[in-house]
Amino acid sequence: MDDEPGFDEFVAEQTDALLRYGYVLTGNPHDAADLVQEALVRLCGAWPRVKRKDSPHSYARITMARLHIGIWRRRRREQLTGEPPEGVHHETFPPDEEQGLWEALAALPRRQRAVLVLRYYEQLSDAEIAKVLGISAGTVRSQAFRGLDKLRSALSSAPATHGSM
Amino acid sequence: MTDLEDKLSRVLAAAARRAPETPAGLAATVRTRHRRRRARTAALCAAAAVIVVAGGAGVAVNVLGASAAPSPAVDATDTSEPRADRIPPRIEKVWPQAVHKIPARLPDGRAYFPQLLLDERTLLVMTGVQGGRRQFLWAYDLDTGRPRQIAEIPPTKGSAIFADGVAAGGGNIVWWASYKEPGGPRVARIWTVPAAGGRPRQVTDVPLANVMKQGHINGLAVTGSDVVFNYEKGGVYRVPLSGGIPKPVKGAERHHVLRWPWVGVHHGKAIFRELLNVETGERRDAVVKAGEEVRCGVERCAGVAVRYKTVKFEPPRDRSGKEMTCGTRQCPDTVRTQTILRRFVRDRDGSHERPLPNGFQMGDDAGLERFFKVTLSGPGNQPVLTLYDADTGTSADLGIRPDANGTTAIPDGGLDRLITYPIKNEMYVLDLTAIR
Repeated sequence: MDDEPGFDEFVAEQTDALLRYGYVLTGNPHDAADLVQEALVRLCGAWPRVKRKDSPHSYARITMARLHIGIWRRRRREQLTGEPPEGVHHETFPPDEEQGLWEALAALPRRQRAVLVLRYYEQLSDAEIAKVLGISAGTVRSQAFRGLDKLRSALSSAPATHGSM
Repeated sequence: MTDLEDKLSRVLAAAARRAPETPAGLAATVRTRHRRRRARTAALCAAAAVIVVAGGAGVAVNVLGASAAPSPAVDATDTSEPRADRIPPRIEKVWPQAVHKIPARLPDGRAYFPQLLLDERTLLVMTGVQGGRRQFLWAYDLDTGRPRQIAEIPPTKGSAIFADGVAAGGGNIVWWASYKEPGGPRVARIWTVPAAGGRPRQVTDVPLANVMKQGHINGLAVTGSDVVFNYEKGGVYRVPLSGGIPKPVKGAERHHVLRWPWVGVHHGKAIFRELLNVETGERRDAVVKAGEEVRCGVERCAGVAVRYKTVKFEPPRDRSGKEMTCGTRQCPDTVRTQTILRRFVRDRDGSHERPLPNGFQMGDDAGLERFFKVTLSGPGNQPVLTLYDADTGTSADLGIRPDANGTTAIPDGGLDRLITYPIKNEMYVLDLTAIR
């Protein structure tokens, strides 16, 4: 145990928070779980170094964000059936508009969604987001702008349906 | 914060509260498993995998137990036999003529961001100063490995955006930055500097007063003696490089610059479905059938055919066959599944359709409308990013692998000839025009 101090504690303490983060990042519980799993496996491999040099907490979060927008894919899901849209959840936010916003988020490209999540959920600055995602600050700003713009037009054109299809 | 941003914060926070939870007692299970298996790192990692998968199966599927949705948990412990694709040879072997490998930092240690190729041997890059606001443009000679400073980008005090949309043409480089003088409206200031070097000069100020409606600007291009650009919401303008007031380009009032002189509009999930050549007046509408989601270029469209299906919700069952409940949440009556029927690239008129591989990244720009990024599954289920040539069917492994941090580089590239990505201390610079 002494060679790898704290990894299990980290998992025990942080898994819930990572699942929450993964859920807002991906918009669906399957991908959230997959993403957390993948990030923890990688964290585990890098544990001694990460523990010594970095914060495991931010390591896991950066890994998740990059995995999500990057080349990592759960191929079986994307090949067989795409992600079910969020409307099926039946977990409604009180005002229609907020439900609509959550549904509109599902339609954003991954990178735009990730930028918005890092900005408005993680409350990171654009410079921090650029570091997390490994993209330039200009790209962060334009992705954020486009994401917000799409949300705005989605909200104005299609009122929320509460997903009762 | 705008109203929308405010709402977004609230919605995300509320969503996080509804996220799948780790089942009670899981932490204890985790620790036991972990300790039992602590002999090797691989085993430790396996423990981590099992845990979260348990969370995924027990909780996630409860929330969204669509019968059509594959459970992430079923065979996750059975990692011994991942389905691996055949990985093509490395890009240096497949298209050596297209690959330049240069140090990922300038000789003085500065990191840089590749922007575009000025010609076949000159890469335009931008550097920043750590923690500072000064930025520079450099021409990097791919043959000699020597950078030449072109100019310092004029710093902008209190500006949110500096040096965006770098473009070049006819020996001139342009970019824009956002400015707001006290008491004045916010503007996008377009700058230019000769690629040979010199002092940047202001071209014009583009009003951004209505930025929430019109967006910022993008699609910057140098065309002859003019700069063209469009508002992010659409609307193409032209202004002489020598300065003046931007004038709307006739017939392109709702358009975006695709590749000058081609401008276009989107229709729902058909990006650049309608194109107009603003110099000749030629129009090109893409053939898009129902259920197709495409992204089009000047010659081709690439995308997917999708079928959405609403199916009755079937409560998921656990391994003993017992029906699982939706917990405190109400189970949905129906769920909608999305099945990708086809992935394709074809000419805009609908002819010459060819299939694209399964791992192709939908919505990603394909370099020269021909080179697609495709993710394959390598040994150990490791993702391998490849470049697929839709003209010849040839593929090449870009060589990107997770580094010691477990992070993977994301290649930077658009519709143009350039793709760049760092691997360790090297920057890979791919010039797609070198591939015949």
